[in-house]
Amino acid sequence: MNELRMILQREARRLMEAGQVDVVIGYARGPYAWTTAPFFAFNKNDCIHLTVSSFCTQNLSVYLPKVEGRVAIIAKPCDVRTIIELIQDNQVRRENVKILSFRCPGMLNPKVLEEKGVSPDQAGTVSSKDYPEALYDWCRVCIHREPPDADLKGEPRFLFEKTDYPMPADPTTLADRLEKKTPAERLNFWMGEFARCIRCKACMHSCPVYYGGGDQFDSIEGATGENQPAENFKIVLSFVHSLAGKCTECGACESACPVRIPLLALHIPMYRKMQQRYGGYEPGLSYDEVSPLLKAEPMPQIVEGG
Amino acid sequence: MLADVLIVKAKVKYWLEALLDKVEVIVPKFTGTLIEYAPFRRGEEVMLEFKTPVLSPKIFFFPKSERILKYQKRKSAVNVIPAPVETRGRVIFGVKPCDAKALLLLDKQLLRVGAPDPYYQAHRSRTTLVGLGTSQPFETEFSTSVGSSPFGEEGLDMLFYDLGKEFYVKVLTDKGKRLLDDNFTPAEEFHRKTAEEIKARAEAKASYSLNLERWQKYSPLEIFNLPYWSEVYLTCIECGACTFACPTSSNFRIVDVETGSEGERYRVWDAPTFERFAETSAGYNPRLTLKERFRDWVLEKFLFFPLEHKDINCTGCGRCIEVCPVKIDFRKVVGNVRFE
Amino acid sequence: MGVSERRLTILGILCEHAGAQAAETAGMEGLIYSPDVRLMRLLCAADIDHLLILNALWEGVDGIFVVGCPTERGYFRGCSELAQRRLQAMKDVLEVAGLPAERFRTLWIEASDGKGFVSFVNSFYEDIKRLGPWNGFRGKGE
Repeated sequence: MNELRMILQREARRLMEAGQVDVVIGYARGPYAWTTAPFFAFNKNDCIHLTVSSFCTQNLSVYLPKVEGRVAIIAKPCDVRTIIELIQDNQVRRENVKILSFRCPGMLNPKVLEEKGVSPDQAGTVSSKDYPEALYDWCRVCIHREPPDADLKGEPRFLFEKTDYPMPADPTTLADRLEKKTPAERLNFWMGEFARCIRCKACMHSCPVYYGGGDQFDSIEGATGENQPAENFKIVLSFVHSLAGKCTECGACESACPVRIPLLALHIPMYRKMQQRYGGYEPGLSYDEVSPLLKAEPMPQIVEGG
Repeated sequence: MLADVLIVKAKVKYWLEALLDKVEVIVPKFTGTLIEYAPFRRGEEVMLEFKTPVLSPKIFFFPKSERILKYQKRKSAVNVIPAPVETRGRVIFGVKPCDAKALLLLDKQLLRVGAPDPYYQAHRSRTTLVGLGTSQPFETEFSTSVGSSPFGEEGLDMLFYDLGKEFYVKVLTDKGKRLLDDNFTPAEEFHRKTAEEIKARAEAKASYSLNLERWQKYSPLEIFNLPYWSEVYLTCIECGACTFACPTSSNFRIVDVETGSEGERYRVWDAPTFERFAETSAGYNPRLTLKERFRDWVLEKFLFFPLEHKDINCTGCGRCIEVCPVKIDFRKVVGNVRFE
Repeated sequence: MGVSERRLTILGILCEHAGAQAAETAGMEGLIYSPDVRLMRLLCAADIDHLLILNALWEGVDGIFVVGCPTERGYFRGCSELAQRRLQAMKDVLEVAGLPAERFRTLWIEASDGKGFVSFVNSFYEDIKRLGPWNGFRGKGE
């Protein structure tokens, strides 16, 4: 991790000195152990704060449409895929962005690490090589640990050698477990989870490729009423539906949720269904392929009258 | 303090069960993912040591969504039926002292002279607050820097100090005194001393210098116009989690849900960082940019509220930082203001 | 089993061109279907706000169907292909959520196919009767 950190800082500084970017968007250490916070470096001295660790859960490409000028961005491979989607959607211009990416070891859940007695001093260096069982669900299912596009140049792109990403002994995710339940059990589970929802917009606002804005929580349809868990679930289902074919399972939404609703257990099954229907489509891998839901072509399987 | 007593930890459960005969009892519970305040039921175990719940007891006085009236539109008039106020007695056990102080700050916002919010007021009158001194604060707690304390007494009816096998209990009001029963025994000088030591240690931990004295040298308008505010808002994603988790925030909006000629009116949570928070019905928005809204969120607590009420509208619980998806450190936002 | 206690409500969302016209055709040909089926007319099946379908389910509508143009012969270029993909994704969302996806169906027909329209509606109605009423989420606690 330390080596990767230095590589990224050096490149960020170089780009600033060469006047090629106006701002570097990266991660800095968060207010306490196991956290990172998005950070904007406006000059080369600020670049010293840029870091990367196994706790970089935010997807920084959410800032790209909001920032003016030329940007260098530190992005995990799943974040790079959302950058590609933003470019497909004309929200960002490729020539204005320098993508600094790396082969990602996956992000770790601090709760699991704390249960194992891992000390916070190790937050800067611990990785999935040491504790694969702490990998978040969305990192467990990830098959794209290398960025499809990146500008980090002149330096080795990737931190780890190819092959053999660490996986836990039991790689099942919550999505797998829910799939085995009956629909009624699944619905009951989700109603229980959404009883905690406070209708903040953290999930929707942390997603770079959701353009709906979270306003539904303010609207008459969703904002009030006796059935709060059901209403909240409904709004989030519309969010999940909008992301079908675009979600890259970056996990930003679930990490953002203040009450820890396991949103990826809704996104991951949708991703799998989209895969099945559309010949293994992987969102955000190439600039030419757009989401199947944006294509006015007949469905690969005919679905009529049901 | 009206009295001080002891209660053995094992007996807390029986005390609360006895209270259930007359009132609702709310306790902190682990509900599978989070620790939350939830109704206590007979036969359950009570959590006596816990990390601060992410949602403060504010939700029991100022819920996420509260119906305030029903209406029916008739030919020549509108029938308005206010929602009934709740009067059933209630005890909340395990209230963090800074959350109790927060309720006093909420009182200043929701119980304005001449126009008190009747629903909030009813919830406040019917509830007795039993505090538990904060033994496991968030990493980001800074209560002593804003005039609060992990063992503060303001706003509480009783305060429990964890002495190991038992609790030392300060009875602070008549409401609290009414809850005493034979599960409690008198306290000794030794217990009082130990309790004071625990308090001192906790206060030392929960401290972070916010340098608020520096603010005194500048006028409100100068503080408002600082270039500093153009820098600190940049990573905010306008989600409102900080406001919703904040125990002293009372931002709301009113929404009508109508079907045909009938409807219901609700008071729901709102947040100053939301784009349309300050938008008027004419469509004018006085805070069109996130910079202005973020500044408003911070200054409402540390500048505007103190101007009116002489108190900072923050109890340093640290939830804003804990829930922020982009981990904005509000201690630094406030403590490192650059006046130039 | 037994007589249901309340009447069913089926919501049909028809696109302006194929769906609404097919219903018109059915009307002109004198074909009948249950009055419990309420029809709603929107410009295009591809342009439906998907919250509409979720809201209907939440309100307790027992069955929902969408009628759009036939594949590759959409009134707006590509409209039924887009609609089919998006509405299929909505069915998938319902399934993932544990909601009864079988209460939501789609039909893609010609404007002149009144018989096809009615046969679909009647068969859907029978299936919903067999599934029984759906209470939605009104009055389900906080």
